Amino acid sequence: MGLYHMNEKGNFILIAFGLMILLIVLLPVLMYSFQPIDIIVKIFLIFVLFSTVRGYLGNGVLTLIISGILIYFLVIKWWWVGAMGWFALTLAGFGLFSMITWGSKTVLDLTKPKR
Amino acid sequence: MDFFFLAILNFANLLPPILDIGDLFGDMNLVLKIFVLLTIISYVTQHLGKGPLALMLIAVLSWFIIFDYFMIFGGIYFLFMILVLGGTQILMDMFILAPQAAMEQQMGGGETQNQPNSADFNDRQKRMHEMQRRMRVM
Repeated sequence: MGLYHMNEKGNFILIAFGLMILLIVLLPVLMYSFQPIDIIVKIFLIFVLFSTVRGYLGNGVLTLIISGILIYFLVIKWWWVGAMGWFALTLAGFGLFSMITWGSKTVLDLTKPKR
Repeated sequence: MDFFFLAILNFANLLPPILDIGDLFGDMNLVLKIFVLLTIISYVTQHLGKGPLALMLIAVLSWFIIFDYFMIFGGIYFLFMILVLGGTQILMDMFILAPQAAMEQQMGGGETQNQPNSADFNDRQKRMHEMQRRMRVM
């Protein structure tokens, strides 16, 4: 039986958050390192933004203008913010963050002492 | 309060352009405003169609929400989007697991009692290999 500091078992929340952030930051790092990934993710982002705006406004000139503005900011200027946001939303859609939270408590359990 | 913002901006100047937080905040504010405008347009047109009344309502709502009181509505919209996009799932998982972890710590000195984890699995594997090795020797 190991020695424990106060609330040490609650550390799994920090571990879970850390893993989530690490996973999200991985995409911009890969984009920065490998050019093909950068191009593919940017194309995905353009599609996602355009289809989102078209879902709200339908086909029209306003859709093109607003998509253009969003694409400039989220794909060209702040590409890493756009990529991280898109990746986070995609992973949340798959329920991967719940898996990380449960896994960091039950499977990984880094706070458990080594026997 | 001003000192706090100035400190953030000064810190931002020291960072490389990829982390220019002051500029990022302004641009993301504009992006958020565009998304709020899209939400307003879609909500009003869903309920009232595309007539003159809908256009007037869009103009009035946009004026109040995006220009006048964005300090309040921007935060609310951001929180709303986080909740809609699955933020509650993560919170629920944590609310379920945190008391469980606290209870385990109180009852078993922090060690997991009934729940097998990767360390238990490795232990079991080691014991099984050891047993197999002994049986082969015999």
